[in-house]
Amino acid sequence: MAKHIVIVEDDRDQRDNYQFALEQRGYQVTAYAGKDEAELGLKQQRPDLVILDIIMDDNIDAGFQLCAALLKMHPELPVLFLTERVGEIDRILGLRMGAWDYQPKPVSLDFLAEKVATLVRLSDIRVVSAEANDQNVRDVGRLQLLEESRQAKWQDQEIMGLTLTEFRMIDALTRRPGHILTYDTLAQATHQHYVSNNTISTHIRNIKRKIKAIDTQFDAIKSEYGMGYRWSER
Amino acid sequence: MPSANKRLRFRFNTQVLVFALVLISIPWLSYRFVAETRVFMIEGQTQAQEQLARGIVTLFQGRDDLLAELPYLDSQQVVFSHPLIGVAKVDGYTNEWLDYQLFAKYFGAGEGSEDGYSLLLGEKDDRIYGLVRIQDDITVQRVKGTPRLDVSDHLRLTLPDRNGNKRRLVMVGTKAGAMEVWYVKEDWATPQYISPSSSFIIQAVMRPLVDGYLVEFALPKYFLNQRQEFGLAVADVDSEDGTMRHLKTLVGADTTIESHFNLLAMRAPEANKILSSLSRSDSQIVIYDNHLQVRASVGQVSPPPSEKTNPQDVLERIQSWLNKGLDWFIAIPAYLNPVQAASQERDLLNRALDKKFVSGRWHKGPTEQIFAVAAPIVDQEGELLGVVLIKQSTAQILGLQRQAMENIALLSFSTMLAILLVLLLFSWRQAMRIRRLGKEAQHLVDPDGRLRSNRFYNEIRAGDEIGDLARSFSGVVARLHEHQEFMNTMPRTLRHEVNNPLNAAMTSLENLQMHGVEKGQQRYIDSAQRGLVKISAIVEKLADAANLEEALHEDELEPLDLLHLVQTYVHHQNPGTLGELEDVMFESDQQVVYVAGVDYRIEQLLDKLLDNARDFRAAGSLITLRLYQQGYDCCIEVENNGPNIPPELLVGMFNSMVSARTAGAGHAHFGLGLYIVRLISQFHGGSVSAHNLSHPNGVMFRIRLPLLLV
Repeated sequence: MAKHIVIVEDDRDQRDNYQFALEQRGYQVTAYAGKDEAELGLKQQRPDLVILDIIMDDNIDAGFQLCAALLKMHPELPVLFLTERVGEIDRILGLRMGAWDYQPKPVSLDFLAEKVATLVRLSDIRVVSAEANDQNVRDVGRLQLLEESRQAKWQDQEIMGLTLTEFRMIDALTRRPGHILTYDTLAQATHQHYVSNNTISTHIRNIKRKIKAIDTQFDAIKSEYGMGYRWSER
Repeated sequence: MPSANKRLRFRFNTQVLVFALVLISIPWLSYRFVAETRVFMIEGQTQAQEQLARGIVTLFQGRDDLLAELPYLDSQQVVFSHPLIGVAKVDGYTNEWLDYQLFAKYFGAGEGSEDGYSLLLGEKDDRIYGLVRIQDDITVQRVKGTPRLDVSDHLRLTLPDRNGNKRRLVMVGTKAGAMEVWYVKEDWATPQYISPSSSFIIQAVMRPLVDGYLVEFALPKYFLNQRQEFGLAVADVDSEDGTMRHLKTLVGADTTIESHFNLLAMRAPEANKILSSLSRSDSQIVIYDNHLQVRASVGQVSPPPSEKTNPQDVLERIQSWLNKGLDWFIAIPAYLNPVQAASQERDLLNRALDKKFVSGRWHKGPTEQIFAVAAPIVDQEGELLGVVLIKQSTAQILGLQRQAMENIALLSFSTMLAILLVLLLFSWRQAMRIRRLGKEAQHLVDPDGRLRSNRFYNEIRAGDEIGDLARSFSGVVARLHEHQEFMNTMPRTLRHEVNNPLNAAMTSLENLQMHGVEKGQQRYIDSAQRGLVKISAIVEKLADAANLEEALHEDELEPLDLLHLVQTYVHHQNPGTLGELEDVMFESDQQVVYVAGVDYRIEQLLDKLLDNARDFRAAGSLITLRLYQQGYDCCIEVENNGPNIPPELLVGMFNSMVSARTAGAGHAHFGLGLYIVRLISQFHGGSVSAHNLSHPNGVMFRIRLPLLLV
């Protein structure tokens, strides 16, 4: 049965493009142009994933408000913010509200489709994770990568709050430990059209911060100044 | 336009000067008023004096009985007594005689000759005063205890009593100062009594002079007989051998002193009575006979000098200084000495003797003017009987003037002081307000030239011009702040606004591709996608720079091995392939350099500096990156050969959106690189500076960061 995806986006062109792209990939898509009609529609039925824009019409926090209302109704509902609001504060706020991921615009439709697929799969896995533990696990030293659920563990403790982009970057870094990954390579891992070195460094800083919450001595990600980063455990 | 600036403008200094002149003019105008009043009063007084003179002349008209010839004998000389002014003291000094110097009578060989003397007689109250100036080359004084009185210089006075008996008195000096007065027998040598006369009754004082000596004496009027006869002789004794003294010459008012007497002319009592009713405190009325001898007089020109000489307390001292100042201010520049003044007076009298009504003025002292009227008194046949002379001093008027001046000075001083204080307080307050406004304006802009606030807080509510100014400033600041906010948020707004259509365009292209395109059309889709990615990159760069300050707050400074960072960085800049030329050269003799920093921010900073150096370096030249320690700082220098930075750009080149690159130079540049460098340097507690180099030309950027002292 096709997974049901809800898109809430006030821009008709983008809404239609997302809908078309996702329907082409076999999803059942319902699109809403505003917060109120979406809220009304979502009361009737729980979808498998909701994609929310944040600024809708004149309400600059419409997405956040809708997210709060939806999670109140369906606490386990996967929510993906897809927005032009790309500030660090917005990103943190969105994730703290309980959104599963935060994707800035512009986005590649392939990447969006993959992200949707991953989140839907993650949702499914989390539902059945209690009885089924047959995930594809990759061990890199003290790091464990649970590829199905896009989760990572350091010293057997889950790295909390890891976003999909950050998981992808850790995944890329640990594919060839000891080798330098240039900024360009790391940029590809984000699946965005244009990523500056500074954005990569900000992602790396966030990854380090999240692992250091488990192990303050963590220093496996080495800076290769002027070139990129390297994974190297002592 | 120059014509618009030609408006007449008063600078602040000029305004203060005009104000000060107005202030000064207040006491000056007051002074002028008082001075004019003085002139008016003096004129009035002169006229009153003339009227008085005419009145007196009328009173004495035909009263030849009052001014009749005195009944003296042919052989007798008349010596007139003069009314003494002020306090008459027998002290050997001539203060009280100054007005009568010219009336001195000479005996002996005449004026100025040796062996002569001059005599002046005066009267005051019930005493007769005498001043005798004796010329004597050798003064011989009496040796106390000597039995004879005629062996030293002495004065002989003969006074017949009312019964015709002669009293003989000898005044002899033993030293300078008080003289002995003896009653003597007929031989003028033997004392009649064993001791001299009491100095309470007859006083005599001697004072040596260069060419002789001076004797001043006083005796009661009742010593004179009815005819007021007296005889005076001066005995000059010179010692020939030093031991023996004898009478050498005898110079007398009458050579036969024993048989003849001089006559002392007193003031006419009747005339005095008439005059006394006309007495005024500040004027003197004198009646002269036709021989210009004083026959009656009343009053005095100047009030007696004050006894108080030295001011005691502070207030008196201040008043004394104030008076001196005022005296100097109203002083009459040139004035006559007593002799010259007496000559003026004599001149007036002589003209009056010619039956003319005359008046005159002269200055007696620095603050005193005398004005006098002399009028002839004639009998019914028109014969001259005498002259009336009225002298009056302006002292009283000047005194009034001085008092007025004192009051004006005090009032002006107090007013000016009060105005000055108010003015000072006012200007101090205004200055404080302007300073406060200036300080606020200074603090309103941060070192990077950005507004910290959108309004002024000081003086906004003030209702005066400064308040207007503050409100105008505040309005301008509010607009500038609005503009600044707009400029700050513009990149973010732009990203928000651009990202949506960009996303729509990109996703549309992707969907188009998914629908399938004909062969040959794919390249157009690729081209459109590349263009959109470029736009996306531009927007991202702008937003990154705009968000940098905010983002830096998220970063935490950690101990950082800067030497390792820079070394690694330079290593990755240079190609690893053999044969390719190095791009960046690193110079450092440091072993270890630690700073508190954020590694990827320093990396970002180096990226920007190297991008800049690469853009401007001379083709094929090497970029030098240098790291060294200087005091408690470490310096990173990035140097390239190439054109210098234009001087006009050196100042603001670290501000946002300032670029030396020409438009259309390939990549999009927004002049944000050096702005980011400055923000990151400042975030690390350091600074950045740019320097032009010569020989060869080039540019060097220096980042100075504080060392972390381990």
